[in-house]
Amino acid sequence: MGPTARPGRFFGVYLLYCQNPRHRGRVYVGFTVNPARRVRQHNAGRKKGGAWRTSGRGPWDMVLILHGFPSAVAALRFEWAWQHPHASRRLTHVGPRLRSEASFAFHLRVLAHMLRAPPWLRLPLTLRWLRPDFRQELSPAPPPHMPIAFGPPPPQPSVPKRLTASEADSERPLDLDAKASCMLCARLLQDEEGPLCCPHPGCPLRAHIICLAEEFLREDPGQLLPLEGHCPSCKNSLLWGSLVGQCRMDTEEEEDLELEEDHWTDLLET
Amino acid sequence: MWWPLLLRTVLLMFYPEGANKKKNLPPKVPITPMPRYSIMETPVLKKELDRFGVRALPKRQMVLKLKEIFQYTHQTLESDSEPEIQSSQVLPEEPCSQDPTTETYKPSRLPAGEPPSGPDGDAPLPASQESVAASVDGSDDSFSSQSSCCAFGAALESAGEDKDDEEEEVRASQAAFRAADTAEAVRRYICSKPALYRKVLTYQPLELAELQAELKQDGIPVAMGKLLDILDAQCITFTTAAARKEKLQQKRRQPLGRKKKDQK
Repeated sequence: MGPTARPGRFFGVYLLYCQNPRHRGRVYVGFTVNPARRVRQHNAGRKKGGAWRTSGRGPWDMVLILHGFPSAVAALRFEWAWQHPHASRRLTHVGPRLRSEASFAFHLRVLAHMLRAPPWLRLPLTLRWLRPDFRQELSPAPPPHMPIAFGPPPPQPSVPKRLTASEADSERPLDLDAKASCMLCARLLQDEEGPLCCPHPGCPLRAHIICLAEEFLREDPGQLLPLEGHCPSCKNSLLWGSLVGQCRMDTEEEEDLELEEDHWTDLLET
Repeated sequence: MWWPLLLRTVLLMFYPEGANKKKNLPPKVPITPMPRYSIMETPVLKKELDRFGVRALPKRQMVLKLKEIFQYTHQTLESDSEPEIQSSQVLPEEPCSQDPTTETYKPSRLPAGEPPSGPDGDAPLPASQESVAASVDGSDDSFSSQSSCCAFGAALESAGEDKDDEEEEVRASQAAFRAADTAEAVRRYICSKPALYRKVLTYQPLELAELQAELKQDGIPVAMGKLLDILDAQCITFTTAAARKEKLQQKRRQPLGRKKKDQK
């Protein structure tokens, strides 16, 4: 139901930097499911699908992208808050931009605080510097479970859903039979729960989602969402976001494309 | 403040002749020396305060408050700025009785639900209670993820150490306690529903209106704004898309009926 992330589903919020000497230092924040295509659209102008505010003001560089959002809803909310920190209820502690503060630096400052603030604090995000020469240390630093990456994002596997299902079946024919049980609680694994498997090759871990979550949350009482932990079987370190990304269903990409279009508030004359 | 009203009755108690006389004559009762509050033991101080319907305070504050009350009650009637005592205005409040509640901290100065009796007006107080509760709610985000005991203590600190507003402090801490309680109740509810918890664990957005209705059915009424805060503190994504869609459809259906009425 609704656009939620799947193994290949990409939801990202990016930052554009203007290289045009006439509009030096301008910055734009947007949402995309396909960063390479999106930046081409921006540079091509409004008529080719680029945003109204960036049209004709190019060339634009996509310098960083925050991805790993588990749903479009989460990414869009982040995008809005990053664009309107003064209006976001979660960012009242972030001071407004000083006159001496460059827009880019200000956006980084807001980003740093956002990554440390609920509700984004526990999301399985990755901060990726597409242009390493723009890279700056964030202060406050991002939470430890969020990796900082460099270079272009890994190519998305464009595999239709039936194929992935059959691939998964062929890889582990024996393990998905009805007799499998959770390694943590020893009860049977029902279908609707989609057992969690350890991504490390050869690790036999099968577990209920809730069982493994409770295991990871032992160090983090009072929380509902785990961040990271160790595989009870092979002891390797695991991020909850990567674990959970494996077992969900697929939805339309066309809905996501609509979400990238200009929002009417962006088209208002300020 | 309500307790000047109480003081009028106290004045009656201390100066019984004053009640019988007409306005102009000051009482001829010698003013007793002030009891040595500074060296009194805490339980004794508590009892003293209890006579005036004031709750137990930290010792230092009890001493100061008793001294203040003494000065107030031991002025001569001419210098006393209070208007004349009227017997009809004897306070219905019984300072000794306190509503039994299940909460640890009780507002012993004002029994819960007691309507204000005097013209000094307790009306400002409920308003301040709301504003204090609202201001404390904002700080609740960071507490809801801890156990309710920790949250209570921390919220108590954050509610402030204002000497003049002990009542507000009590109410603020009560509000914080209730708020932490609700957050904990929501958390427990999610843990108790495996399908819902799985949704949360797989980062699927929860439909807000639906969740609110479920919680209400389960005996946990939560205001929408409060629920938002609780979910945000747990970093749970939510959506109002379905509810908004439905509202839109309702609005589209309604105008037909309304137009007919207007054309009268």
